[in-house]
Amino acid sequence: MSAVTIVRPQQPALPTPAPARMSLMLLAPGLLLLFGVFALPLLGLALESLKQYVPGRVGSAIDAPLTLENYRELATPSFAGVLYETFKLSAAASLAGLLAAFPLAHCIVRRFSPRQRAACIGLLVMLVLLSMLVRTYALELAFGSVGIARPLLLALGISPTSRGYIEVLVGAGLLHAVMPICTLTLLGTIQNIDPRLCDAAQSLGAPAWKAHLGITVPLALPGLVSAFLIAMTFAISAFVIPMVLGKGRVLFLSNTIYTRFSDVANYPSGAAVSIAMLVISLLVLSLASLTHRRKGARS
Amino acid sequence: MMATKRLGDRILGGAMVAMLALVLAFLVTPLLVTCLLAFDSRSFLGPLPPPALSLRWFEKLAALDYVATGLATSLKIAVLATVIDVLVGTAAAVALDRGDFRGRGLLMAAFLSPLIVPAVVIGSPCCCSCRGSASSTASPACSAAMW
Repeated sequence: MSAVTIVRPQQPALPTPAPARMSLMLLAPGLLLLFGVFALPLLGLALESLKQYVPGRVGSAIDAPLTLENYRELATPSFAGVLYETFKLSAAASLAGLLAAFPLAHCIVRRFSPRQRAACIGLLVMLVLLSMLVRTYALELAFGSVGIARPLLLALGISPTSRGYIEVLVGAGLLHAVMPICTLTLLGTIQNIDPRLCDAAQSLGAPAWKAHLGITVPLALPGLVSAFLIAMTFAISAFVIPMVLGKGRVLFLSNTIYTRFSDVANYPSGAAVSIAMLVISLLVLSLASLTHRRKGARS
Repeated sequence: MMATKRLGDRILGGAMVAMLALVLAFLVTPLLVTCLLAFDSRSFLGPLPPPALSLRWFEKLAALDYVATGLATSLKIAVLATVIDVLVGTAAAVALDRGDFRGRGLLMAAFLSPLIVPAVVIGSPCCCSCRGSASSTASPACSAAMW
């Protein structure tokens, strides 16, 4: 009878916890900075959004009476139009980005050689880090109303200055920004899926597309949902893309905030729109963390 | 039966490769067009490819004073914000990771919250101190990077 040895996995040595006072000292500058340049302006913004605005002034008076008037304006049809446009284009771009990013990420993880993988990931990271302004003007030069695609568009009977095309252009700009983010997010998701499952399904006779739809996609679903929501928050808060490509004809929430602050100098109204936008972003992100938690609970 | 299945796979696989090529082309084309146009010798936006290449636009760029001033301002603010953030963010990250105290999760969320808030929302109220907004966005990034 042979002796059974039990091999215990070695526990990694835990770092000794630092004393609380030292932690506090380390945290203090960060908290101070966070409070001064982040919390304080946000509080000021919330306060400003409740103040009454007298047309013609720059901002509100110091002793202006408090009112909910600025928020009431958010229920008007013109504002609803801006909100609808923001959501429509953001959702369309995020969905299209996801549809393009999923096969791309799968290809990078499963098909490419290490060298191709490195090149492709490098390109995507470069795109993410490249200045938004540069990318947007590059798109304008390529597909805009005076861009090199103009003859092609005219030949196809599309007017490059029509509202429909401008909407498509803003959507394409968002797509260009969102696709690398989606792809990089999905890399890890796909990496964690066991490729043998798909192989097994195919060896049992399933065609490749059926195996992917039945196995890869459901397993990647939580990752797909969170990639979509990340893309969505990014697209909703986009500012440069609708401003440059939309040429004032496609307005996003962020552009409304900007004009309220800079052109009209109606700070209280701009603040109210900002708070509304903040709430929307928080809602979308809480959805994302909810799906994450459910994924964690299941596994 | 088997043959049609594999044929379908081949067709779909081909379509997928074509789509990926289109996607990559969409991502890269605008950048290539911009690079090419930067060396265009014409003074208007004409059809590609440009008939002749030149460096005239780069010479113009070098001759403009305000570009240099703007670059200097960008660099100054970027360096300042980065230095402050790396110092402050590293300290906070060490404390959050190694520390043992109540409310760690809450503090972590607080430090990462500027990532969520849209740039326009935080930028508008502190438009008088842009440095502040830059550092507030970068500080969660580097405390996150320290993990």
